[in-house]
Amino acid sequence: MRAETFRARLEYARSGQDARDNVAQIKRAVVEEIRFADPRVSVTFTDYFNHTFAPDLVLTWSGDNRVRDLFIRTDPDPRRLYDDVDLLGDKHPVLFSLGDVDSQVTGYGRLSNVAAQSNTLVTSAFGLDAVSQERVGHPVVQLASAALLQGGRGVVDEDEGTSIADAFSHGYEAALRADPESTARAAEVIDRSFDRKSSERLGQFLQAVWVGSGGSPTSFPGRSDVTSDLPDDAFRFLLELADFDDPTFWRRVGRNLTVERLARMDVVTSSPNFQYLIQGNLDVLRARVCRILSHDNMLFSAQNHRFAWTRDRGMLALAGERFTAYVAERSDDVKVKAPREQGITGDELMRRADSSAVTWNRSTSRETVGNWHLSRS
Amino acid sequence: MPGEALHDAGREGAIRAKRWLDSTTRVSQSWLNTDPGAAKKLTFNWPSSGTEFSFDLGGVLKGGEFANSMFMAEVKNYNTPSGLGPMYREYLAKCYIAAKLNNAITDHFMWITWHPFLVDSWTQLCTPDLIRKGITEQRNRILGDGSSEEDAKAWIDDDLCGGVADKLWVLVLSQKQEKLVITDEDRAIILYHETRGGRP
Repeated sequence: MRAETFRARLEYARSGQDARDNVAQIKRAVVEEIRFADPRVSVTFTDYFNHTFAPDLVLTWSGDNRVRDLFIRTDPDPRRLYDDVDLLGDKHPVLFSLGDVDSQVTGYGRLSNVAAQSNTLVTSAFGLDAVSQERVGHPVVQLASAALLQGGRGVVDEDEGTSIADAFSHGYEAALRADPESTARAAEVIDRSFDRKSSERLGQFLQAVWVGSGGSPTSFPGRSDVTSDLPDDAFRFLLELADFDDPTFWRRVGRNLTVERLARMDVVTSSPNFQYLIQGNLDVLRARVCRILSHDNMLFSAQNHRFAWTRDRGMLALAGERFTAYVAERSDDVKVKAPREQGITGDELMRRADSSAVTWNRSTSRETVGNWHLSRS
Repeated sequence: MPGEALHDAGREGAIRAKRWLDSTTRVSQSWLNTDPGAAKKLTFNWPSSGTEFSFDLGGVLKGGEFANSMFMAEVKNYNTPSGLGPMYREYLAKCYIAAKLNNAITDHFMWITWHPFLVDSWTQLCTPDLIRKGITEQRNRILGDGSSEEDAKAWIDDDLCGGVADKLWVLVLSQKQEKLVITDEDRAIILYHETRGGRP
């Protein structure tokens, strides 16, 4: 278990003579746990440690203006953590206990209630690990683990972490079947364990999967979004997650995407998840215009793929080693200038394609291809 | 006061002392010896008996002449002066031993109490002479059973004794004084500046 490694690191850190050095090592170990739970997070170290009023770390997320203070706590006693929540709860922080919070100790129930009411997350490496462990068998759980630091609330110890992860993975599978009962149970756990903004977002994911699976938006058993379509910031959240290779998921959440929307969506395209999203929905992404620019060999960040989808110059594009193909729904949307050199005709394109390994969509007509402007730079 | 109540009162005092110290804006890190993992940072051994003693609270100061220096504190949450005199002299002996064992991590020794004590010799509380007296009283734990006052006096390093005296703080708190600290609003401005590089 990862939490056991964390415990060993703490022991090692504490074995040094000088507590100032120990503290630096402890904070680094905590940051590793945080980054494992949520790879999107940016962490700022402060000079403080276990201070009553000042955070140890400040957590931020790019593309999202949320900021959350994290206070490391050396004593997992629920009574002391209760005092901390009482003092700091109005800032909705994370209290990261170096030891697991024992649910059998006096004051646990009171702490749990006040933490949930004040949108404060009280957790530990053991709580985060319990959620993260579920990611091995159910990659979709990383949505919940990544959302936890940003909007989790209440006491998330080992048991509660497992409970959240189970509820989310079962809820996802239920949404895939458009099963209202199990989906509703997941929605309840989400509402209980996350603040409003994060529970809305996680609910949006479940609803998108629900709708993508043929369920009606209005019959979704959780907090329902009228549009049932994921907003850009929800896609940004998904794309910034660690490699999430679940073709079914990407297909279900991306059914309403269009080339136009992808072109203007401010998201990270270097993530493998962007490739999964596009590849999972190629059958519904319609492009009527394509402009191809050839170029010298280039290094691109598609993780050794020969081709990678990207956004470039406000357009969706497929980048290869020697060319980039820009696609658009309308010719007015083409923002890439054609080079002056003579391009090739549509017929020539089809002839070359027929003699190459390229597989053309059968719906592509020769006339349509004829409208493409193909050129070399 | 029964043992458990005394223990709870002691812990409450240490928690209050930590909060007050943190409120001064001159502490960056602090921990109690009841925190798992922190006790060993505050624990030392009497040289002869081998038994342990520990301070209640420790941490790191910030700013000005105290920047990045370490403190250890003994907290006495008592409402009478009874017994505080001998306890204080025992504490002085502990400070000397701690400094002798690891001078690098014992920059400041704080005695934090809510009740005055030894008022007739108040100006002598942080002097080498009183440290010598404390060591002499604890000589059996330091030098072994049967050691004499002369043995203790001969064992004491005067330079170290003077150095420890310079490290001593005596702080007498009151409930009102615990509230006479920077306001939440002003603290928020300082912390925002320090942790996020700007104003709230």
